[in-house]
Amino acid sequence: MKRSYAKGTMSEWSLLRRSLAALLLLLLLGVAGCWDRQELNELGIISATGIDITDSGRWKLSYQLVIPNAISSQGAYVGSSASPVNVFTTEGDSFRGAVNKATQEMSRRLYFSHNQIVIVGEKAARKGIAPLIEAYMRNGDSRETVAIFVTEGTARKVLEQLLPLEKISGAGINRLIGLEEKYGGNFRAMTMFELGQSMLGPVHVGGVAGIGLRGNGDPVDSVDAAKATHTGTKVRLQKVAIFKENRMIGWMTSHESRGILWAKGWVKETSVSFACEGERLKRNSIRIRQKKGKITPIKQGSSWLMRVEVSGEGALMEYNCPGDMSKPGNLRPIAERIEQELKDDIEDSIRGAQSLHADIFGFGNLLLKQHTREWKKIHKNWNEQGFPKIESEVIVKVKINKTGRSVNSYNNTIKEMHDKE
Amino acid sequence: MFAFKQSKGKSAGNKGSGGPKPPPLGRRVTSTPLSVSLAANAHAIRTQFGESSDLRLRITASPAAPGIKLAILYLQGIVDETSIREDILDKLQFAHADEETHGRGSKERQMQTLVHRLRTEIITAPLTEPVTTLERALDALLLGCCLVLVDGSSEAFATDAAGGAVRAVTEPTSQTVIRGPQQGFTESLETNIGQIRRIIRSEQMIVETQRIGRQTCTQVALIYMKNTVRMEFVEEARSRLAAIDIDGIIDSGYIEEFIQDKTFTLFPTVIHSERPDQVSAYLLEGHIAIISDGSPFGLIAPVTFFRFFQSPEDYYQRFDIASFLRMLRMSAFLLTIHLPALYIAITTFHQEMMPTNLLITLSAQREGIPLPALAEALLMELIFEVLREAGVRMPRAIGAAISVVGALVIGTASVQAGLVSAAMVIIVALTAMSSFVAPQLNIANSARLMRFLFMISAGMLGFVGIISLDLIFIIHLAGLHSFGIPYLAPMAPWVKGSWRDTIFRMPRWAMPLRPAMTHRGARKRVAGGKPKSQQQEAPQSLPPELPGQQQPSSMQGSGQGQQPGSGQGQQPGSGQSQQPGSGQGQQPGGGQGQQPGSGQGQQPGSGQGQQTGGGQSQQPGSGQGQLPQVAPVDHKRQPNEQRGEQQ
Amino acid sequence: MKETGNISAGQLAIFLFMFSIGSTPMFQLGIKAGQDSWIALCLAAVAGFGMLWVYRTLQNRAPEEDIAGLYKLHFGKIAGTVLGLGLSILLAYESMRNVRDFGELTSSTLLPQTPMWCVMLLITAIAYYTVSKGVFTFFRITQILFPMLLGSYTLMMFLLLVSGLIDYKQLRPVLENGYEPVLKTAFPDLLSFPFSQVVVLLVYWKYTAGNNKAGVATYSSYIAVSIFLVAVNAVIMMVLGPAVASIKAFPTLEAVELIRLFNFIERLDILVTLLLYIGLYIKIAGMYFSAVLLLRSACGVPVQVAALIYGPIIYAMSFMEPTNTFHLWAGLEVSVKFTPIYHIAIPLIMLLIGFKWVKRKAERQKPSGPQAPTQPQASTQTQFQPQTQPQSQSQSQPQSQAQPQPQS
Repeated sequence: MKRSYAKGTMSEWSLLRRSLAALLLLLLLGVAGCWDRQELNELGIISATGIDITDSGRWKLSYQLVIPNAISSQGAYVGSSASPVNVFTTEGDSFRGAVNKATQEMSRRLYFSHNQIVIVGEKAARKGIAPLIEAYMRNGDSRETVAIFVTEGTARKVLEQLLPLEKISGAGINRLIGLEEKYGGNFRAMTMFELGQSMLGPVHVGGVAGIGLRGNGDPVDSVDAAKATHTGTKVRLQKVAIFKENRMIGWMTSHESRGILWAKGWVKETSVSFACEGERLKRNSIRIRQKKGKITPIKQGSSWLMRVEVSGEGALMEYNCPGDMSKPGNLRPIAERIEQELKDDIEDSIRGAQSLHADIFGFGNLLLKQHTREWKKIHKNWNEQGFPKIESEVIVKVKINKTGRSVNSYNNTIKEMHDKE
Repeated sequence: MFAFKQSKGKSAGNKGSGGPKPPPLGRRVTSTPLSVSLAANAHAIRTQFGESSDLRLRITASPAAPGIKLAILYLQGIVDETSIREDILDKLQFAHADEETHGRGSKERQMQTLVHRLRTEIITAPLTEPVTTLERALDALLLGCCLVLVDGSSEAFATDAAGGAVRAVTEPTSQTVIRGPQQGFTESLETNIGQIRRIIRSEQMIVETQRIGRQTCTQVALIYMKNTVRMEFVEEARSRLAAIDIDGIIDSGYIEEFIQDKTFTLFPTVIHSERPDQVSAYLLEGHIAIISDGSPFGLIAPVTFFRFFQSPEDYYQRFDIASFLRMLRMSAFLLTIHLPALYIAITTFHQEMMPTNLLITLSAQREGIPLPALAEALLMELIFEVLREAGVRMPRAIGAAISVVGALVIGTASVQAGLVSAAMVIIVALTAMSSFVAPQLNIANSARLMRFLFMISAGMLGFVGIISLDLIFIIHLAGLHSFGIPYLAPMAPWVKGSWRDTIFRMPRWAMPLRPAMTHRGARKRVAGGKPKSQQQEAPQSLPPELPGQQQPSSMQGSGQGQQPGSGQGQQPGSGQSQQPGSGQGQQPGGGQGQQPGSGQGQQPGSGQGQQTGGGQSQQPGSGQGQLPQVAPVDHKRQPNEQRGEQQ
Repeated sequence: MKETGNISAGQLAIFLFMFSIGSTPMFQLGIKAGQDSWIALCLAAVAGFGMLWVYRTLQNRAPEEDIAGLYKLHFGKIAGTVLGLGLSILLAYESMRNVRDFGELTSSTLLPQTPMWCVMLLITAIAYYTVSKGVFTFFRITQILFPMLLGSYTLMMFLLLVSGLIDYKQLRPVLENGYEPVLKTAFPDLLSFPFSQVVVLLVYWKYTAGNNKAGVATYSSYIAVSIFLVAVNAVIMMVLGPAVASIKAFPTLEAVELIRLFNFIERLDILVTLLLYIGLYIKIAGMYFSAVLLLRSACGVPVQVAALIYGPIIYAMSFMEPTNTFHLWAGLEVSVKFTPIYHIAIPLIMLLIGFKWVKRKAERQKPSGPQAPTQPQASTQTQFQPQTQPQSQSQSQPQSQAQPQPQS
């Protein structure tokens, strides 16, 4: 009985082969099973990690676990008054060993891919964070774009704190540092990757923002405490921890930190307060946007000069000094006072870095890249011997673009009116 | 269509001789001559039909044949009784006897003359055909002819009286456009061909009919433009159609399954179209169309993958919106296949890709859901398919209620009951909407099936599964052919100049050449560059024209932009496969752009082959509703225009 | 259904581009030279261009032969067959290496729990499917994948740029340690991989015989892909810096992981892994196919059979190396010492010894040569020959029906 295909018949062999191939692939996918499958409700999402160290030198890891139902308006438990996060701690000799202990406590598998921040306690930082960076680099599931902080007490305390307006405090702190970097100009987020890069760089020095709890009241670690209109304790960025060769060697103040940021050109926008002529109180302020922050090495004889060139421009926000600002000439002294302010900051930071024996400015980097041969001669013990000896020259240029919506100072105008009467 | 009539010279010996060739409709193997007696004939025919009540017999007489009984036979449902009455009965009633020839010669001779006279002079039906065997008589009756029997003659004749109720020409039911002709095909082949004829008024459009199907004898027409199409398509189509041996063709879908290149594939290789304007457009570009009686869907072949996303409306709207919509359709196609699979892959395997907030929201949603994501997705998709199928069969009265039930109950309530997550419902809805975007139903059906495969592979291996299946499908598509043209052309292999009309559409004046894949040679179909109306701005107050929009000739030049004197057809290196120096006929290989039988290279001025079509090309936009007058056929076009080959 | 015909120059160029990219972005090539890796890559590219010219010259001696045929012409039938067989096995080995690469990559990044045999079986099966479809289909596949790949890489570079991660200062100091490390890295390591892998072109060039544009297309494609590879290498170095790049196993993934935009575009390294998947697939299929084709040219085994032979062999061989470390070590130390024989040494020898007489010999062989690619491969049926052979007998009658009937 002839086949009723209109075309040439498919040969038996080809049909067999094709179906075998198809079957093979299907079986393959079937056999593949679902080894890697992980349902969403099997995950324990970690949004912040804290690193502490015990006296015996074991790592104490704290995790801030997110509870999705308390956060989202979806799902079976709507509007629950449970705390949005849960903090717990495990201990271990190695990082991943400590993480593994969590399976003894936790009904879900810890999921680090959405970890936003890592807070390192000061003790652990001083001991050395090389194992931490190593663990992060080697593992695939945790991102290296997490922001790192150092805290004076234990990291766990910061993790337990709830932030106002933020459901998840880990993400909230991330936002905090992002905001500060963009508008505050005092601190800068340091990611794990950058820290690793700095440690591997030629000078082995890096700076990490410090965070801590400030305030007299009780820590806000429960939802009930957060129900009040004011919080006794707050999470706050304060000080900068300086790391040298994987160990923390000291703190620098926020004020010095600002200087460092200005020198390296990392400031986007900030407010600078300055005083009137001859006064001490800094009652005026200007919102400056940085345009340039450049460090140039200049050879001076047998040693080096670090020239820092900084420039910015901005708009006056507050001005309480006498003077008529409608003439462009009058702006120049104001700008000079602002420049002096910044110069002081930067010089303070240079002095602070030199006293700490840490080349936080990355001057050695520049020497390596621009004057390689000389660098090779002096790079031994650069932080201790080379860097503290170099001289510095700070040049600041500020331009006042706008004076806001007032031309003359309000205070000043009132004073003049008084004088007239 | 009086295909009952045999073509001359073909089966001339067939009538009554029962020669070596099988009878015309391919099913009758015997051949019984009619008897002289009318009663016997009528009885024989009646017996064959088993006394069907729709076989009508009417005995009549005519003054032209005094004393002789005449009878007409017809099947009531398929004839037009009015025409029988007017053309046969009335004429018979009022015919005159022919005094001169009457009574002269032998009885037989008289009878022959009489029958001949009846057939050719008295009866005014447009087509008549003599019938001498019983089988032919049966065929005639079945094809809607009216059989006229003459008592005393073994020769009868059949007249074409085909009629019967057909659906009026209405809007196409499935392929609607907003702008464009609103006529669709009906079930009557003659009407359909008529609709195409109304659009393509060219004698180059050839209609070849044949009857396919043992019991249905369905008339199937193969249509092509003689000057445009590549004859290998036509021959291939002919041979494929001729090889169909089946009980009956009910719809063109049956034919499609026989002529398609590959059965075990998810992808269609034939377009079916309900619109005569679409069919005509494809014909003009060098495709072939197959229309079968009884089906309002005509088939168009050969087609490539990208054709399935081109709607006829693309050509009626302006090029910008047309391009945007086309790209949207392709994206929607990809979306509908991949979206549920992506959802499954991301939420089950690669949660790190989601932004944290989304992750938390989805986590919260999934907290109480009993099913894993894959099962949930499959379940929702299957439910949606059930809903869809139900919607097709739903009587209109209850249709609205069911859609409400479907949407509300199944969608919202199951979310609130905690059976599925809300995100899943959204995904399913989006997917379903995207799947309706494809202008051709058959590719949308492919998408429906592919979606399930993707979901399963995503559920097993995450992104790796999706990409693997993507690769498998790409491999499969790359190896698929439609009548010899690679399915993924014109992207792969790249056909020069085809970019103008694949993913997006250039303005009409910028597409001066017909598609190279299906067209023999390449003719310019739009003469000149930018139309005059757009070239010269109104004088004075308007800004000066932009450079480069001026001369139509430069447009032409840039249109092809190559081969002065290198002949047309495809250059060996221009993306087609070709036989190097093979020298004979077609080895279309990858199926593009070969000169039929022109041996090596192309001689542009060779005078045959190339030239015949040359004249037609100058009709500006023939058939697309532009200028009604037909440009004079000019067989001596300028040689350089013929070289412009790429489209 | 088999096709006949030629590959166009464009298809060849695209194939070369995709094949050379392959999985190269997976590793930071030339990392031994530190931040001068891009210079090393440039030098290797230039040398590779020279080798390409050598290959092209060899090919031009007998345009319709592939490398096995060339071996036979140069060294005689027996030696040629042996050499061809050897090259075929070498190519299968390289294909196997890429299968293993794929397995390792997927296990490390996308699917850590899925056993490697499963993933490798998947890709081998897909490669087999590709091979069974024929040459023309394969080139079409690369054509289709090309815009996808190129667009994705461009997007990746663009995102890296927009995120501000690129710091050109990381490339300084240039030539910190002088020329030596650069040269040592470039030759022979970088030359072997990735640049002299274009030797597979010698298998495919015969399909473009008679096409004048093929040479130009090859060269320009090679230049384009070299620029691309150097650019990617430089960009990744600029993002990561030499120190980090030398630690990481998959530097490109690392760099892309750092992209974090608008709070929702992140962890794009998954997408990059998929790009590498496609690149690896093309490499695997390309080499598998060329091994199969060589087996046919050298020993006369039909393509389908050879495909079935090599498939399981490649799959089985990929288990030879017990660990990833072994695999990497074998790649860096062992195979780069072997492959130059076939990639560099033998072609140079052939270039020198076969100066004039080979071409004449090829000409003589051509009309009767069983390896002329103009002949259809295996049992060809173009679509337009009557396919109705099984039922041609009585069905030819209805053909009469199909004759044009004048419309009455």
